[in-house]
Amino acid sequence: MRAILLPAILLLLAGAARAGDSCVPCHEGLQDPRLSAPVKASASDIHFRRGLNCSSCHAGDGTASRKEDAHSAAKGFRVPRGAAAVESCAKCHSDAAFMKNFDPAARTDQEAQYRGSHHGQKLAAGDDKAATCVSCHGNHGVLPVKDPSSPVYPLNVPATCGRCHGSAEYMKGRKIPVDVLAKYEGSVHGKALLGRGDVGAPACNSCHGNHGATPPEIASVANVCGTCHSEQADLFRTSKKKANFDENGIAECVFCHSHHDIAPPTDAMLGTGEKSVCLQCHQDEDDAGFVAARKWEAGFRSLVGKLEDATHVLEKAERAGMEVSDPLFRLSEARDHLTQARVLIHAYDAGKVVEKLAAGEAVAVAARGDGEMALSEIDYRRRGLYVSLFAIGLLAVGIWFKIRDLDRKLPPA
Amino acid sequence: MIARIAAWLGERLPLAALRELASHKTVPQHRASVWYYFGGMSLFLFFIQVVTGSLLLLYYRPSADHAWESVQFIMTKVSFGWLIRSIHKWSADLMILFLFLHMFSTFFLKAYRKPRELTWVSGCVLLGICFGLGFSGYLLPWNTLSFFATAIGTETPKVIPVAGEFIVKFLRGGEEVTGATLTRFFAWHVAILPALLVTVLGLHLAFIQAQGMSVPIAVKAKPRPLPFFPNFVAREALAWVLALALLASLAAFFPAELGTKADPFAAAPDGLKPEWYFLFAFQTLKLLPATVMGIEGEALGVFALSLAGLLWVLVPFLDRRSARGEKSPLFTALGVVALVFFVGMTIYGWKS
Repeated sequence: MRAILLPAILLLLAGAARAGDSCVPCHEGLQDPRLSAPVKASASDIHFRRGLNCSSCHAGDGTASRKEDAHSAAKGFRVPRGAAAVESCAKCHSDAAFMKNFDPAARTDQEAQYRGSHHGQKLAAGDDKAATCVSCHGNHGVLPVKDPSSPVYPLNVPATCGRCHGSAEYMKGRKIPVDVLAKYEGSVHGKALLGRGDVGAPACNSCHGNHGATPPEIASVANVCGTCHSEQADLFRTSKKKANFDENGIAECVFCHSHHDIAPPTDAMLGTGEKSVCLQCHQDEDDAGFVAARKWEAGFRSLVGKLEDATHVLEKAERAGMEVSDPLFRLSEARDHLTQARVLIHAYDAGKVVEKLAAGEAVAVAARGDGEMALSEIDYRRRGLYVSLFAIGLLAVGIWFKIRDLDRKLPPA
Repeated sequence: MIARIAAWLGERLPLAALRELASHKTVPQHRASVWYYFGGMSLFLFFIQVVTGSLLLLYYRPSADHAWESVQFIMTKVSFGWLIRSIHKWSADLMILFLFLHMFSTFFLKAYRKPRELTWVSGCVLLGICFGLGFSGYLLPWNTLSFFATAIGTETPKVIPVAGEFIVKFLRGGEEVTGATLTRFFAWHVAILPALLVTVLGLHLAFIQAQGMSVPIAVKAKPRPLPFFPNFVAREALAWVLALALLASLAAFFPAELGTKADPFAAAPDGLKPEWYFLFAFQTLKLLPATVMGIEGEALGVFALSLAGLLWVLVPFLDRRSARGEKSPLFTALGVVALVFFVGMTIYGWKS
């Protein structure tokens, strides 16, 4: 019954608003921007564009010409804040039958997710600073999520979350860090999303969820990262290290890669140098992990060096005009081996990594050999040219002497 | 032995008459006679084109699936394949360059004047055929640059009223540049245009033989006659040998590039340019605004360039003063303007 009555009431209200909504003409002339701005923003609001109006959320009497009647408590006028705001939004957004009038595929589980989120739990516990729907989506001038100007459009999500989580003043008294936005902006994910505008790159909600936002627990970190980095996650799950990490309560991925400030992974993370992450556990030189880390780093350095060397030789040959597109193409195969070896590290299987590195080296060495051959072919061609030019020169000199001889025999002019 | 072979041939062919002709044929010797050699050098380079082109035909496969791979095979696996292809490419460029030198020298020396109007016209037709050979040959390696340059080049005739669409379809063998275009260009490059060229070349040489070499109007004194054989032929041979040395050096130091295989679905690369001898026209069309007095700029440019080309061919019939053996400074000035425009726009197109 509710499913039928509610849309009917809302549509009737919308019709009434179109016929004679007194909220907008009254509010837009008010001097106080807190009271005039909401109606000015309504022009772009998705709810207004779909036929809803001020009364849909604020109730009261939108057709009344007097403020007292319009804001009449008897007619249910309210300014929903905090829990009331969530209820106001959920009134429609949790109603699948109603939402189907606008979008047959619309989700209606946002309220349920929110109630289970940290934000929702804090709100339920009486924390009036906890985020509600309007904290992220706005209240007046709400835009569709796909609108690039929306605060929840992927490119804008970090700034939206950062309004609270990047503000030391707002978060005062809470035991969570406020440097997460700054860290994220400098991370490989932040640079991809905010620097390159790659909307496929993860924002805050990709790992924490959006309506059900909550920090992933230690046990679920690998699952969160694994939604994108599935190969690495699978390899780690089947590795012998998985049990060690679990026993010691170590959050899998973040232990080596960190979380908000994830830097682009480098080969220097292996080995025994300053940037090594292996040394967090394997500090003793006799430790098998220490030895393996040093061996892997040497292996990666060797393949990278051979790739650079082969590329240098082939590009030199190419600049000299030699046709080396084939070995240059084959170098990409060696680069694939390098990438695969870097992924295989997550299996902690030294044999597989070494095997992959060796395969890459074999391709790189063969390609370099082709480059060397091309360079020696250049020398051969040049030598051939000089010999030819010498022969052509001799012929030219011979012809020149012949011309002189022939001209001498001509009768005088 | 040679004498016996000559005697054997003499009994069957009019060798004595040819010998007689050669012994009496002369070439006027004066301060501008150095320009006589450029036509012969172009001919020499054409011979090289025929020889190297025939060798390339042994391995080249004219289809979109195999063209690029076959050229790569020629460049990397075939013994001296790189040299043959590089010489083919460079001798084409040098041939066009020498043809330009030959044409402009003929123009400024007014060698086109009566009675050599047809020699000039046939020479212009030869240059046009060589342009066609260059344009069709450019696509044959089927690499990214040649594919997109051909797509742009074959698009140009579209602006011609009424027949434009038909010409584009005729050139491409369809709506777009595809494997059908490659097959068609191959046929033009190795059969149709060479046959036309040999025919017109025969006419051109016959006209020269019939009329002899032109003496510039400015040369008043009777020039000293130089025996064609062996004196002029020896000089020509020296020029050919020097051209060969230049060709070998260019091929060895700057071998022909192959580039990446054409991908018709990829985006066109930046900085696409045609062969250097089409750059002046390409740059002119590029500089024109979208519309000029309500007419499409490109259409106007194509019309203007075509009209200029037609007038250039008809110069011997328009230049009445030189036909009377008088100096014609107006046409000299027009020639200078044409040369400056051609060189200037080519350099501008190259740099931009």
